[in-house]
Amino acid sequence: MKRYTFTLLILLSLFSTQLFAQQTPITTSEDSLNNNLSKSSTTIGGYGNAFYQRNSRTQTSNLDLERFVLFTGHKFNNKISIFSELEVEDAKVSGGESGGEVAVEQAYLKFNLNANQYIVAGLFLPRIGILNENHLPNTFNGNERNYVETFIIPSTWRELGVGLYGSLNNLPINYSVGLVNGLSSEMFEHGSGIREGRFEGRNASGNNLAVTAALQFYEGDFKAQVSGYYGGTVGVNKRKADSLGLQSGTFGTPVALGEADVQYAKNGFSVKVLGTIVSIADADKVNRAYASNTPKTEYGAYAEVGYDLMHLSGAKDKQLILFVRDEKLNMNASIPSNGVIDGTLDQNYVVAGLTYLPIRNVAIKGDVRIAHTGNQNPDLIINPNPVAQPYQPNYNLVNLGVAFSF
Amino acid sequence: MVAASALSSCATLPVYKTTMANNKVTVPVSLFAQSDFQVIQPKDLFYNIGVRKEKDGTYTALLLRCTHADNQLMATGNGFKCNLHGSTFDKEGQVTQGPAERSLKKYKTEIISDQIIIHLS
Repeated sequence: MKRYTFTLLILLSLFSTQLFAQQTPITTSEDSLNNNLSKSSTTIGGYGNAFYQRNSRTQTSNLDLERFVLFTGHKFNNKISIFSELEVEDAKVSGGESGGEVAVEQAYLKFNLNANQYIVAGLFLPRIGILNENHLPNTFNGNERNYVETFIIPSTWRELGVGLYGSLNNLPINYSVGLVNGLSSEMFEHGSGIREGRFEGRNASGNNLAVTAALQFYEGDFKAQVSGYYGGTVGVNKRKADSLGLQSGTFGTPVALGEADVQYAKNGFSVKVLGTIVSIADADKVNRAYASNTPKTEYGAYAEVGYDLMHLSGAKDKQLILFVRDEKLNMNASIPSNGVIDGTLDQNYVVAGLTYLPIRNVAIKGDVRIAHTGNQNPDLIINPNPVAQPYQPNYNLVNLGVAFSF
Repeated sequence: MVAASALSSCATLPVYKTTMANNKVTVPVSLFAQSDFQVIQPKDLFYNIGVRKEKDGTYTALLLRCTHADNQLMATGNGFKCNLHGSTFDKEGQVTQGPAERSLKKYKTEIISDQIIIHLS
């Protein structure tokens, strides 16, 4: 009996040794802490959100797992790392059916130059606005991302290229500059600004490029940022561009975007203000080439105030944030001579609600979005009443949901 | 080693550049004459170290590396921020915003002949 037991122990030992020898040494973010200054490590993380929405205009309700994202990172050594995010939107992508999306949101190599500076290369999110870089759903108020940083700044806005990030030793300033592929004016769609012109890492044209830059200033509980983007939107060759009446080249038929924001947070009180403007100087040429009713100028701004109702209770990890945000955006603030004004793209939203965080990485949210838009232009009505329901410029959305990150 | 160090500082974000030797970093106590907080930048470490003078005269050394995915932290006015996923930490190294869940790594320190020795192991 003893001999059989001994043999069994030897076999189990060999089996377990083989088993563990085959395992990839993946660690969680928690474990990575314990690695101290180890030269290599792999981390995993992710985020997601789901919410219920009641739309008073359509008299319908909807439930959706809006995003589920897994990110993995691997540090090869203290100088070189890789970071990636793989995203599934709306839970399911099925062949032959519209809706849903699977996308690589980020995948880039990071080269540390020193403790203050690093270079990224690959598919990354340039520092433009607040949300593009910091889009975890448990870190912003409201179930939906703010519309200004969805339609005017098309977050999450990732492109292929290289970027340099750094901070100064002698001033409380962080900076970033980037060179990425440009947008495609051919893909611009009426009603969504420049959003549909992004390549997001898929077969981007390299004939046209874009530069981005940002400066951040910190002082105490105050933070300010300015950022900008300037890039060409014509990736076709010169012959084809000439035939379309578009200017080709690196910065031909350009899009320029400027943004500024300030944030302040102290004693449970927080304020966030952001403004941005987009200029498409050659919008008339884009319209002549693609008949997309592209605007010449669009802008957006929002201001948000919040207060943590549990701040004075001494609860360290818990928060109950009461907030209100006013968003104003106009996706056709000015149009070229061959454009058609669309009043529905002049939009104002007041969003108010509560964000409860039982722990910092989990949020339970409830909010109301009160919407007001301009009137529909009769020239743009394809299906008049009673074929289609008349356009309602005033409506509201009630949202209830959960969000997490880890 | 200390003689080779160069001090560059300002009122809001003092940074002291130095080197590592035998997994130790040495900084002079005199750095804390004007401020209770000092960022230390050891050559080839690729992460800064934040050193805070406590009320009892001891020193706390924090590795300015995000505990979520090992990214470098940028100093803000009231703590540190990771630009990768947005985690923030206060000057004590406690998480103030996720996704990071753990406080910053603390290193043991000792004072020998007016020098603060930070043990990186």
